[in-house]
Amino acid sequence: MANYMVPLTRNLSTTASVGVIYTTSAVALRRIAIYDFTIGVQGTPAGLANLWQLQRFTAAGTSTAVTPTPVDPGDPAALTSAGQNNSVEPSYTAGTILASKALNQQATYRWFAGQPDQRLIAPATNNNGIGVATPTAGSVGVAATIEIYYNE
Amino acid sequence: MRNPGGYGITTYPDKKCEEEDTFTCCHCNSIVIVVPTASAASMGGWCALCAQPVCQNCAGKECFPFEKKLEQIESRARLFKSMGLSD
Repeated sequence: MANYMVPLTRNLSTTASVGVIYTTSAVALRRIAIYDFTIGVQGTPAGLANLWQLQRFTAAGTSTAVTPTPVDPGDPAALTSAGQNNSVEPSYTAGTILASKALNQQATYRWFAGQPDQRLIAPATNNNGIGVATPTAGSVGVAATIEIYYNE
Repeated sequence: MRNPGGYGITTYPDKKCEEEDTFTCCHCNSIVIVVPTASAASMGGWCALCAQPVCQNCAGKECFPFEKKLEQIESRARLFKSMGLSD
């Protein structure tokens, strides 16, 4: 099991997701297990809050592809796909919000799993994954990023 | 709660960091923030079969471990694929 990192960035929007990470492979499907993420605004932050949510989906929508980077350069390329700046929203599954954090734009939040059974896991099923959205934002249009570390 | 397993850190530009313990619900895999001194019931509950805490949404419901859910989703997708109903 190798570790990967992927940063997902977009100008904040209440209707379009920041990005997605999902299982899709013609070779082999693998589960995704997120063990660390950091959210923050790297544009010019206002003293306003955003609500960040991580939620499961069953179809990834349309986004700009981002290539996950192996944390150990000796590891092979990731089989998982990731995308940012969604133009078509993923098909989020109702009632599956995994994390929800209201955060001032001037603050940064990091979560990490100290034990393996605390990780956020997506099934090894095609186009299933976890999306990041900001359904409520004090101000939109500011560039924000989530950095996700995961195993596959 | 002892050894909740997950941690959250909020960093502010003008004041001290805030740290919080979290646990991941063993039935739905969602992150729950542990409120210091709060009772287990107020954060959800305890699944005696999994011997792990659960969130408020899963509290009081039948034990359905998240690992079982994953296996169910994956086997369903494999079945559909074998039937040619999806990729």
